[in-house]
Amino acid sequence: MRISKQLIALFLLPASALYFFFFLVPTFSAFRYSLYDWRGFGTDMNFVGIQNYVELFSDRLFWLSMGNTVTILLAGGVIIFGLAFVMTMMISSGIRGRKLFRAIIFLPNVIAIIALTTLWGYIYTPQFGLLGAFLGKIGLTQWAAFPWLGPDTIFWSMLVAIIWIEVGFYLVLLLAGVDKIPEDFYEAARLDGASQFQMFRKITIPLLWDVLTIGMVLWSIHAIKIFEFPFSFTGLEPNVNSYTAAVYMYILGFGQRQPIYRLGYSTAIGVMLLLVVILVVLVLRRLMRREQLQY
Amino acid sequence: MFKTQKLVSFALLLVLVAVTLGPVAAQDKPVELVFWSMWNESEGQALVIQQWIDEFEAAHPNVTINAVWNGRQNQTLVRTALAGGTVIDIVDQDADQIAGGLMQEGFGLPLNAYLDMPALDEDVPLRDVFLPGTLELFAMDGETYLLPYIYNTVQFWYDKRVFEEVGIEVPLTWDEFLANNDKLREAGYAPIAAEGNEPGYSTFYLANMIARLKGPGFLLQTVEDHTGEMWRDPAYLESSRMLRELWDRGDIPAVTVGYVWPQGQNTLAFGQAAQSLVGSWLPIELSLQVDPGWVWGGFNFPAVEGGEGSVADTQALLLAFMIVKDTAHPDEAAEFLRFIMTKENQQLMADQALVGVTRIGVPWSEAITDAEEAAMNAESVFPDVDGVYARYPEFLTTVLWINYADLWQGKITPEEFSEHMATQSAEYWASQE
Amino acid sequence: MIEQAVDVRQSARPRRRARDRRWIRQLPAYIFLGAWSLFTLVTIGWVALASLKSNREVFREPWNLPTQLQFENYQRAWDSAKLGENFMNSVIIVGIAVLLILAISAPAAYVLARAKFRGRNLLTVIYIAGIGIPFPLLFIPLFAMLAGMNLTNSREGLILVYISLSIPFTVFILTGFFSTLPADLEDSAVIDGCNDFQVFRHVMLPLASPGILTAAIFNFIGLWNEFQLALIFIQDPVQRPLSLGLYSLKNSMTYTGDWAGLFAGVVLVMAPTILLFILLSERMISGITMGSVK
Repeated sequence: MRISKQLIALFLLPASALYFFFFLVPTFSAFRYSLYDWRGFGTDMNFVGIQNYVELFSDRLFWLSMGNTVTILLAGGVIIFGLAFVMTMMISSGIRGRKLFRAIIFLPNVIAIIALTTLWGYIYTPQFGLLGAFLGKIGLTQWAAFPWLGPDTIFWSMLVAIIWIEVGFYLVLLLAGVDKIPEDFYEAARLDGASQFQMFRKITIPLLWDVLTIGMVLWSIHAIKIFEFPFSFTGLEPNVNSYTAAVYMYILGFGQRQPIYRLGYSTAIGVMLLLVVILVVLVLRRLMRREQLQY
Repeated sequence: MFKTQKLVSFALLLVLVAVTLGPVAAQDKPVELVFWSMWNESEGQALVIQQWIDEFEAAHPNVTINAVWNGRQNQTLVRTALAGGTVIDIVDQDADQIAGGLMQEGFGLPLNAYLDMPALDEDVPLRDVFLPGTLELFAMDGETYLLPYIYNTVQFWYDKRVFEEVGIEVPLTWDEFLANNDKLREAGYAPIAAEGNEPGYSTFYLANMIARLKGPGFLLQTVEDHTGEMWRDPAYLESSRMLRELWDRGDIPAVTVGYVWPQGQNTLAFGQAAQSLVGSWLPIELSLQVDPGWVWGGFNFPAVEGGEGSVADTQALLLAFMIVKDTAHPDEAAEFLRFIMTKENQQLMADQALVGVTRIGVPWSEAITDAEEAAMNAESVFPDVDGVYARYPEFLTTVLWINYADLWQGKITPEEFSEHMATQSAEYWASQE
Repeated sequence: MIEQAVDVRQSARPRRRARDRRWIRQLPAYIFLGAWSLFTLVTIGWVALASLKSNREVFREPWNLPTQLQFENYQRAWDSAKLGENFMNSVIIVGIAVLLILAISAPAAYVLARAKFRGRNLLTVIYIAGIGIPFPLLFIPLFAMLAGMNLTNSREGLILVYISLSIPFTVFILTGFFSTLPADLEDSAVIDGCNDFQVFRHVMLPLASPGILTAAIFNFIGLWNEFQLALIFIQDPVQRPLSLGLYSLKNSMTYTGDWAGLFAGVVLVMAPTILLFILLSERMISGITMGSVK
């Protein structure tokens, strides 16, 4: 069927106009802003070229927060998809209560994140928290006083909570993918004498690959902008050891308590985040293509 | 004779009132002031401020003050809102934070002329009713932009019953402090409750220790040394060692490293720990947690032998009002600030919100009488992180706090701390040029 | 999958034994999934319990039952934040935003999926590229822009931001949907005398309704819990959505040491979404999967 030029224009215009003005234009201004020294909304902008980027290289907090973001993306991603995979296999193995498990594991996804950070902050309180008191009750007193929120552990404690929240979403995705695989594929393979591992390798994985890829893209985009959890996890301010790049950007640009207000510098970090996204998408695309060649 | 005198003074009073109200009464046009506040609506301080506003509006029928209760991110919200064209006339915030932000960037209305006017309820210039040092703390080039109205001291807070039980007195020197800690430990208390992983809190130790060793202002000077060399001053090594000693002796329990606010101070409330170096807001924060019979006491950071600072130098964390420079009604806004500084209004804040206030001769609530005493007798006052918070917030966040946290948490030695600070300061300042 | 395969192979053996074997094989699954679910339920249940304790009990006896139920915690939480107003703000902001997102994105997606015109592929790529742009990059430029238009600190401004930033992903999902619809339906509608707009309105749009529902659910969940953009674009407490309201509640409760009150507030915010989820979980979950699994 032919769709008239007028209708095409009419249908594309509102979305494209909004997308252009409020998404693409600010994206490009971000590149421009990142070349300026700009100390606050009411103040003048000074062009400094790539100075902000040069400064980023020696900024310990930038590397720390970017390292945390990338760790959430990669380590968190591997664990989340690993767990989601295992759970998918378990839930689709014909057990009872399949829908119930799926719903409960998904549940954290619908709860306001500040409620979850409040909960987890309390879980991790040494001695008096949920975890500490529990460990104390079962006799593991030395573990009851473990500093879950200490400088070396706070990030990992946060990662555990993030995994707990996110895994349900990807579980639901993978489960749906598995459900779509026709049972006769397995029947046929069985008739051919394929082992379980072979079937998993040759049927389940390839047929889930599209879903996996979409899931990974969704996760990458989500992981890179993670902000809410570290921002509201600990007491007065986000703790430095659990900064993500997005949090550090906010601290530098808008300030939590610290009146820093370096808008240009903060935006330069945003540009670096975009670079990470591009890198991840390129890698994912490559991974996808190679798999597709296999079958 | 007596009657005449009375008449004359009554006439004088009338004139005074007329002069005071003159500018307001002359223009009966309705004036709307917008006040963005650091308090949440339900907090005690907000309730008192709202009461001030109500009474002020009753006395000045043409003025309305609309308060927006933003909470602690007020300044960030104000900045972004001002940039978006929102009209805001008055703001309040931690003085350190606003001094380093809006005030330093020139958003503040100069207040000197208003401070020279008489106080509403006493025949002295308004500036003379403030507790010593408070107005001057954030003055810039001789001009005052911030009007402090709440006064927090940073002191060691404790339950007096515990000190009696253990048989110890308030320590005046570091040695006495350590001796007390020995006794507390023997009695089964953790001597010190601290937030081990909250740099904003643990820096109280560094700022006070350096103030005792070298006097207030030295830490700020060090930060301002762009070569970084001042960090190699032996005072830093000495203070680092003394602070680390608190951990090594077990005065600060090892688990503390995992405490983020308010987990450390809760161990004080639960009677596990005995003392906590923190602001005089602590008794309110813990009021729902402590035993009913708790008796609050507070004492200044002890003096250090041979140090240049005095035990009476007090770290003051003030909360302040600022009038936004572009306000259309500076006189009315200033009048409101003068109004809140009356004895009666300051007393209201002290009684209802249980916080320290900035006016001389207004008794503070019972739990913080020790803080009031420290404020009255302060030989000098110094702000958060000795002024570094207000002037160099980025340096504080990106250089000082991370290295100090490493020292505090025992990841680096005192020698390494001095070394890291020296080199990283030099790098930081070089990158800022 | 593996388990199923095993079952079938064993089906020749006596049934009872097969059932036992099956149960034993599934035991690890029950233990693992059961433990995970139990943890989730216990922690959330614990918050509900703590919300009824006194403040002294919350920390001192975290695992004990409250000695006396403190319903006034809920009163304090409700009084100290404008949760009711915040809730209405969220309903308005998210409701309007989701409707407009769909109204704007669906036609665009339809055209991108089914029309033939020059530059279609390029335009599609440009839209999809937007999915990858991290929002933090836009914090400052977008704020500066909206400030210039006097749209900061207003629900309208936030709605505009939500719509604009949701377009790429929504267009992406819906394009996928529209492109899977069979072409002969269009053709027969044209034969019946429909013009191209009518084909869209009366044939394709109804057919794509599962996809549109999916997009609606995705956007609704995302925007209902959205926090970082709201934090930047809303300053005035009166305009706050629920996510910001809860953050402000958290701050005000912790400054006064009122943890029980905080937990009560958390329950007040959690309860409606959990209830909604219990009612709609099938729908929500199938909606999500429909969008991503084709």
